[in-house]
Amino acid sequence: MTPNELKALDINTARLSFRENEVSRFDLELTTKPKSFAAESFIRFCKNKSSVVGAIIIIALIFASIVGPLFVPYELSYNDNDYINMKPKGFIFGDGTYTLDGDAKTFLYWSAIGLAIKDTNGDAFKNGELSVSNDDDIINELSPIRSYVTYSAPDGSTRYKMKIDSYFRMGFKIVTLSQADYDALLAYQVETGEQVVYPMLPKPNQRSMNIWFAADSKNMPKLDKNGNLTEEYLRDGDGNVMFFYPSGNNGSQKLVRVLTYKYYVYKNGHVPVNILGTNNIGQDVFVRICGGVRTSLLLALAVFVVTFVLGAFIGAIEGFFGGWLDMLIERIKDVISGIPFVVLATLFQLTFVVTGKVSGVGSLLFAFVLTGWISNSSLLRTQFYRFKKQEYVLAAQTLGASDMRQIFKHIFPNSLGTVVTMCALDIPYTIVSEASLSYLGLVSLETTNTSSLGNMLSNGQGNLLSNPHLLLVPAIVLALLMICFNLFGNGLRDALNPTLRGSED
Amino acid sequence: MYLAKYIAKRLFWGIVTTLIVLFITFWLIRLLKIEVPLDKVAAQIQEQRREALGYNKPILVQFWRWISHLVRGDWGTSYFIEKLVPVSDIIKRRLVPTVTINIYSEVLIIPLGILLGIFAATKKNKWQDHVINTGVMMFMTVPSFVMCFLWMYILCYRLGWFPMQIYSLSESGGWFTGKMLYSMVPGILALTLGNIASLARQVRAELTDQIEADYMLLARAKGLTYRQAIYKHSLKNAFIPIFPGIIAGFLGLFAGSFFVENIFGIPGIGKLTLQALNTYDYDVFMSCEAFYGIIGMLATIIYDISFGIIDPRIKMGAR
Repeated sequence: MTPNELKALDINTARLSFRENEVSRFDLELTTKPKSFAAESFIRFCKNKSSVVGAIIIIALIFASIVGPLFVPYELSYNDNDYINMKPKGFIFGDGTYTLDGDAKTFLYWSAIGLAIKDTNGDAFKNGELSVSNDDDIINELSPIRSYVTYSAPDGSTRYKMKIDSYFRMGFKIVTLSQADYDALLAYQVETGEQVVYPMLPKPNQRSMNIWFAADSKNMPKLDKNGNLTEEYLRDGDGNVMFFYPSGNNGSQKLVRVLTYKYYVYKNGHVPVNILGTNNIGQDVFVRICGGVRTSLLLALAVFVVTFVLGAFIGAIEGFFGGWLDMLIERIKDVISGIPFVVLATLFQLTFVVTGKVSGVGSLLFAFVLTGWISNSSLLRTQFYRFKKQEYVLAAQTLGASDMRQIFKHIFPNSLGTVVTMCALDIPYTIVSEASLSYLGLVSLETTNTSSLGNMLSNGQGNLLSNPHLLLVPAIVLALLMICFNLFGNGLRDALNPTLRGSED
Repeated sequence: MYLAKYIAKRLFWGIVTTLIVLFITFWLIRLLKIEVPLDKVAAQIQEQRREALGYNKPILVQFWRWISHLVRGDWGTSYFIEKLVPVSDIIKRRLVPTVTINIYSEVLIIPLGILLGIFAATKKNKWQDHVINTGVMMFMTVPSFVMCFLWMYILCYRLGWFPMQIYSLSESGGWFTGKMLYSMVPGILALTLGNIASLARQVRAELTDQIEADYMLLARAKGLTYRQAIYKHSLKNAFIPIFPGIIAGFLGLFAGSFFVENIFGIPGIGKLTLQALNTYDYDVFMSCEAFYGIIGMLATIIYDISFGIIDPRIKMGAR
């Protein structure tokens, strides 16, 4: 009734009074605000301590794998032929040293490197300034030996336990430089005061540039009467030490003996420090691990999204319509899930990746998607069977809702929680499948610009005796990823399950 | 009667599905491109060998030939793994180490898993339960091959207690000697811990449900002690869903493990499958797949049937 119509009724409003004017109402007003499903789920999730810890560690790992490599001067494609099998250095991981137990000859070899580093102009030995027996000469900030202790072996000989810094163990190496490069190097030496070029040896093709002293054919040093090493530098006619050995066409190239560490600094502009060491082809392990984690997560995320959409769509159709369609799809699923995944992945690897049509990640993604939607769609199918006969769906049907509306507006949101959780638990499964397949060598995601934890594991297994951290670090990272994702997934399952509401209190 | 009919129906569908899966696998493995040797003579020999073995015929013809021979007991002949040795001989030989290590593991898994589960259930929400739960979660989620590496690092490298690879037959004197068992310990550990954890979790979940059931209240009211009530009443009920899994698990004794066998150098059936896949030894690979397929099919059927046998209330397949 409009106000005008009311007026037309001509009611005497003076005779009317409010019925409940004097009565006090005992109902309380709602003081709490209604919470959305998401907010409530979040609160429930936060109550589960272990899941929160899992989530935090996952976020930290993702963050570290993206940001971490920015703090080290290495890239995924980096490798250095000199700095292979380096020990972890920096942080809490280690100081880059390892212990070496050797006899007098081994000790002489290592201490000779330290001695030669101090001999910058080639005259120190002639003047008798340096001596093997002087520890201050052997051990300096660039020498491989950091410290040593002697002890006598059961057979009476003296043995040495040396602490060798792996970043200095290469000593000297030979490089071929053009005249311009050589001049630039000399200019750098003058500018910074760093000694890079050291006196050349007479035989540029000899096995090691570290044997600068007089030695017999077995590299056993010949000591002089004072028990000292005698140098054998390349000298010109006047007896002056030469710093290069001409080679190439009329001496256009110069063979130069350089200190590997200093030359690395000159070339790369930073000192070599690999906080998790390097592997057997000289790649930085930390950067490779970060790359591996990124690859795993990216693949898992892609698989998650695709299988979720595909599984939800097929499962919804199956569960809603049922009948012969359901029967048919179920049989197809039986068959596909029976095909060994290893064969599929290998097949895709050999047909697509080796021929260069698709990247390794792409083909593995395809293999995962082909089998991954099955479990998701089965889950959604049972959810649809559960909900489709309930009263609210019937009501929607009576009101004339179309099939699609019933599926997506009414049933799907109710089963969303279960399906999301299931798919979230697919993420660790994908990560571990990728790692195991690449460990077995059936697929390979390892290129210069991508790395894979599985490849690192199989690489590390071969080097277990010499460099155990190559195996241990990726194994721990993988284990950590697994544990955290499972904790997170379990917490998510409880949080998204509305039937658990209030049961914790 | 209904049981026989049920088994027949399950077997029929199982065989049909297995056949289709085997056919697809058969087809896929032949899609893998084999490398043609650079040497002309070798390439010609390879081509003639493939022609003689019928690898250039239509795929259905090949499959029919293979499956009809398989049914008659001829599993084919290996070429790359062991030249011209019947596949059935190879598989028989490779099964021994796999079954050995799996029996050792099963002997540990079943009692330890059940005992830990019962213990955790009776101490529910006390610190013992939390400790066991944490351990279960850790060992269940860490994948078995990462576990292998961790054991290898700790036991074989750091402590040096065990060899990195298991002993060869000549070193140990046989598969069942104490020395062989000793060298298998890291592998057994890697195989068992995850399974112990999952069994313990299952037992705990079932038993806690049963402990809270109404009949337990009745049992206590009758005057049974807590311990008596658990062992006489709730354990029996809790094991209804668990036993079928354990029974089916015995068939799993024959299933090899890619990882444990590869990492610890055990020449078992898992390693054989991988070798066959890597060398494209068709007959060996398909026989391994058929073997796995049949075992998997039987395991699920036995799993379902044993439900009905253990608990007469459950009628499998009945509507």
